[in-house]
Amino acid sequence: MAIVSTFEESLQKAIRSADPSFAGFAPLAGCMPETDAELDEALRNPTDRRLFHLAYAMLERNYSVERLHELTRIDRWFLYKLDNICAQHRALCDPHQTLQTLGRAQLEAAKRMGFSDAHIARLLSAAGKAAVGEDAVRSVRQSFGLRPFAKRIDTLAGEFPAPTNYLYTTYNASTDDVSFDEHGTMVLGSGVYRIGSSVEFDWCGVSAIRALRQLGHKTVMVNYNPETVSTDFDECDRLYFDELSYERVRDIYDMEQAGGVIVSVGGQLPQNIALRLHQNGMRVLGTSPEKIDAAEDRHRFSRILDEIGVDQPAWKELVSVEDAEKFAETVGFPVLVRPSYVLSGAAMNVAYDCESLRRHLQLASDVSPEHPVVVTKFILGARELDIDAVAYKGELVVHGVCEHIEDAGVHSGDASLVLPPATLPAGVMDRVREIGGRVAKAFEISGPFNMQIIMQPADDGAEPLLKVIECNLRASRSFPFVSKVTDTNFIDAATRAIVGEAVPAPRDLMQNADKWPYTAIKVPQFSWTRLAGADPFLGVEMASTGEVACFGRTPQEAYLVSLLAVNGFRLPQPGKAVYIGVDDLTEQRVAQKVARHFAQAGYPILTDCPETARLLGDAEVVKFDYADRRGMRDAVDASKIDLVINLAKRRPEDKANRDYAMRRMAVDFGIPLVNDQRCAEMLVDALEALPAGTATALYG
Amino acid sequence: MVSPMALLARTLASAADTPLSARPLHAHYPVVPGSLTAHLQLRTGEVFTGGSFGASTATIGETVFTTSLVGYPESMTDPSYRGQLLVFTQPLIGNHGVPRRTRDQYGILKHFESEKIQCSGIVVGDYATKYSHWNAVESLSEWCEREGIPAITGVDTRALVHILRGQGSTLGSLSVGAQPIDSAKIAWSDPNVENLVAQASTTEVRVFNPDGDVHIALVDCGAKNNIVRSLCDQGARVSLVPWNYNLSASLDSFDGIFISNGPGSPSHCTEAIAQLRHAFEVYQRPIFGICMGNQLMGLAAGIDVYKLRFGNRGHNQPAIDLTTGRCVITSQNHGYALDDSKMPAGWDRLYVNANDGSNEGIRHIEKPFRSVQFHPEARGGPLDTAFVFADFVNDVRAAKLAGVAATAHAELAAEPAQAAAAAA
Repeated sequence: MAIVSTFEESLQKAIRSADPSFAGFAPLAGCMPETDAELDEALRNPTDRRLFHLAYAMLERNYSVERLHELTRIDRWFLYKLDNICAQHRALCDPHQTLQTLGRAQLEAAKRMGFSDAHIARLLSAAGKAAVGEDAVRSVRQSFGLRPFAKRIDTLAGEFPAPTNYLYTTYNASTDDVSFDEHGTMVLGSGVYRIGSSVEFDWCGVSAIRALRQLGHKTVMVNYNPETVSTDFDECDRLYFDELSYERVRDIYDMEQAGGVIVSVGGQLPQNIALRLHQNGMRVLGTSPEKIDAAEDRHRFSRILDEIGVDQPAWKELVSVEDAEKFAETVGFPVLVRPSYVLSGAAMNVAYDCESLRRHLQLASDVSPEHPVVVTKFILGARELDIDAVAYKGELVVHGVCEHIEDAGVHSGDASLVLPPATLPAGVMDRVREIGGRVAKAFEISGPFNMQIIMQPADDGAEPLLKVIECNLRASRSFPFVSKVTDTNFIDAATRAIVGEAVPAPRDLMQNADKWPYTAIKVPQFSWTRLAGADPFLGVEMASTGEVACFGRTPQEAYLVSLLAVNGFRLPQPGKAVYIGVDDLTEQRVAQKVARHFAQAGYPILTDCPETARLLGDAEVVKFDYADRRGMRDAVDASKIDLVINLAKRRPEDKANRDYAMRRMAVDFGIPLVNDQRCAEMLVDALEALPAGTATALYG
Repeated sequence: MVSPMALLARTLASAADTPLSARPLHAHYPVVPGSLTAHLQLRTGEVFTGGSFGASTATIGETVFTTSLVGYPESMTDPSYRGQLLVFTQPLIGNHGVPRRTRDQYGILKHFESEKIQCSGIVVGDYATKYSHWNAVESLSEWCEREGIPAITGVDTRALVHILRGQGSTLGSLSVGAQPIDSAKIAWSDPNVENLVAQASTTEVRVFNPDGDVHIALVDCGAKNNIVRSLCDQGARVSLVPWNYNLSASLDSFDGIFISNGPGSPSHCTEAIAQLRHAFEVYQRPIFGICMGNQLMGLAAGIDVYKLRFGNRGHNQPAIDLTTGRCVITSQNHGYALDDSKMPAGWDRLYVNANDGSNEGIRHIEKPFRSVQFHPEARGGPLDTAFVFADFVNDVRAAKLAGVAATAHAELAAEPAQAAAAAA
């Protein structure tokens, strides 16, 4: 959401806010169909990309407003306004228009139309002109004395005095509504909610503000997402409902002459501009952005781990496809391909062979072209631990350790987190703390950080290997969960560490974790039904849209109540059937255990092929004709399937895959789905742990 | 020269939420090359330079703002805006162009509140150079040019409102040219010293809906078209009479009297006030007033009137009905108000503004005389109070059916009945 008093500036601001890779109202890669017919078709159908098709049609294909109106049926008023943006776009692209010849009025007109400095720089660098950088536009703009003005949002146009602290910035103004004498501490919010960056970072932002206010600091929040609590103006001293771009954050920082800026509680978005803010003289509080950068950069991060003697999976920064292949063959498939500077594992993939390796490398470099791609050894069958921690001047203050129920390789946002961990061998907890301490020291952390560690059982019964696979020097999505389970607000501690005031004394919250009278488990909530055609499969790229956490006296109890609290999950009704699928990587023991349990509980066991039927013992083969969309409903009803357990581990290459079909069938027909073998086993254990006869009370 | 008191008031008003600058503001807007530049200059020194989209002329008026979000064609043709530079706080103006001049079954313009633009000039934040509406026949710019009204876009109207709120409605000059006019050379003249009502009023009697079953005298102080229409829609025959019409001579011929809205200060309308004072003494049938009508009736009843600092203009003014406690959302446009702190004998407050406590209406305790400060006819604005027209015409009709005489002297027989009703 963007607030401005003109349509053009507001729209461009909103577009940029939706994704920082969008320049504004401008053509976008992937939204430039070649033929008129394709373009017309794209324009006729409202999608989330139509705005970019419009920009392409107007700017590159010279479609008239009239033609666009006929195609889109969008009211001409909007199209005229878009045309205003296009006129400005063309003026900046003009071969004779350079940064040197750009007058104050022209630049101001562009800013009033909502063009960002970076976008202006790009247009001034259009074909045949010398390249211009964002900072060059910024300094010319500043030499003209051009900056956005801060306006206040009240309910009635300023007719009555309304001393609200709810602000936005705009170039379509002549005065500021406020004076800048508070010099508050800025907190950068979470921005847009999407899979992987959601309300958990809003909780972190709000908790940071509350901590700062408690410490007596004036606070300035910057965020543009209306569904957040951080954009409730009573949470902070000043709320800028504005972009989280480098340009705007810096403008606000300069206007407010802020005392400093906190970048580590809003997720990846603020993190990505931290280094530039730091390099341009802004006081980034807490862990140095140089260190944040070192941790984000896979190459530098891995080198530092090597230096401090912390183990990690074998890794290599990609130089060429051939190199990557050679590396993969040396360490052995599977390998994990991942770009730097991404949240929620975007474009992160496991490659089981050379062909998929090549495909994933391309995807990774598309997603993050400015940062190197790293290939690491992917360890099968290992456990994964999540460490959320706060350090002050390189010393651990508090930390929490969660264990994933799923094997390592499922994105931590999609994994079921157990706190305290239930299956750690003796000594592991202390070693994890030791690793956390070393990392905190190496990166001189003051503030929150999060690590994922893989626990790989050693062959000879020795202590398991602990390998760090990821570290982010910021709050993570599990901070609220860990804070609530340990009754210790990690962000409060982190904020105090960031500003270096009233930092709590170090405390090992996990010291007696095995003696806690309870366990809490956080399980993911998926929205597969909303993602037509998506594969309900757990992998390294995050897919869940929410989470549920419950307490229990035992891990089994906590897991069962958490799972039952997930929207769409229920236990199969008596008389109904359980449908089970496996692939060649599934552990046969688990499949058999699950089948045996449900069979003994009186459910017919169904499966999709004779081989699996043989594996499961006494199972009936039921095949569906997925192409027959009409007949599917009747066929599914007739089969009486009320729970689908798909234990396949390979991510399918295409939609012809029968495991994909089974999972999708479950989702499409509202049948509860268990799609991980550890989770399936945990579910069976939890059901078997129930006192005899009580399970019936839980049937959906 | 600004008085020390005015300066103090301005400081107090703006201290709460607006930083003060030492020098008067001169705001610039990057006017599109090839377009004309316009300047809004306040008498207090502030200058807003923007783009011109109206007539290339210069004008002086009282700078007032309206917070209405819709209805610029209605507002601009509202005679109550006569002599004023109208600032729209809604930043996007001109979106739907200007509608065609269709007339309804009474011969009244459907989409305008009078025959021409009444305000002296308009001030907007972001003029839509291209409009989009099925009923539009020209752009706002073309309309302004055709009617000789200057218009300026690119003004930070929020900043302007802060200034006006602080120092009150201020005289302004709107001119088109490369440079602002030398402030010392502007011949400032306050339109409120003129009798604007006389300028806005009809000079001859005009009859609408001649077949109506009750006959209402609509005293035209600058009546909006929708007042005429609202009365006609209730089945009344409406005689639109000049503001200074000799009602006393023809009280018998009207079943009810209705005083319209109008521009400027009510204090110039001494003739109308005298007519009303006499009517209050002798007339027994319903009298109703809107806006200026409320002020004239108040003055005739003996209530003082004062100028509001910056007026109430907009479409979401809350007024509380003091007889029921109900709050209604109203359309308003007035710079003067009745001082209802002391009510004369026989009169009571009817409505009060929930925001600033200013008077929103009065009523006679015994006789069917009442008035409202707000605009129940809307255009634009909410229709929440449209019921007042039905109530008024029903009262008129009931009185006619009951045979209520126009004046007490004409039919003494009516008196005992009334006295009995009052006693009950």
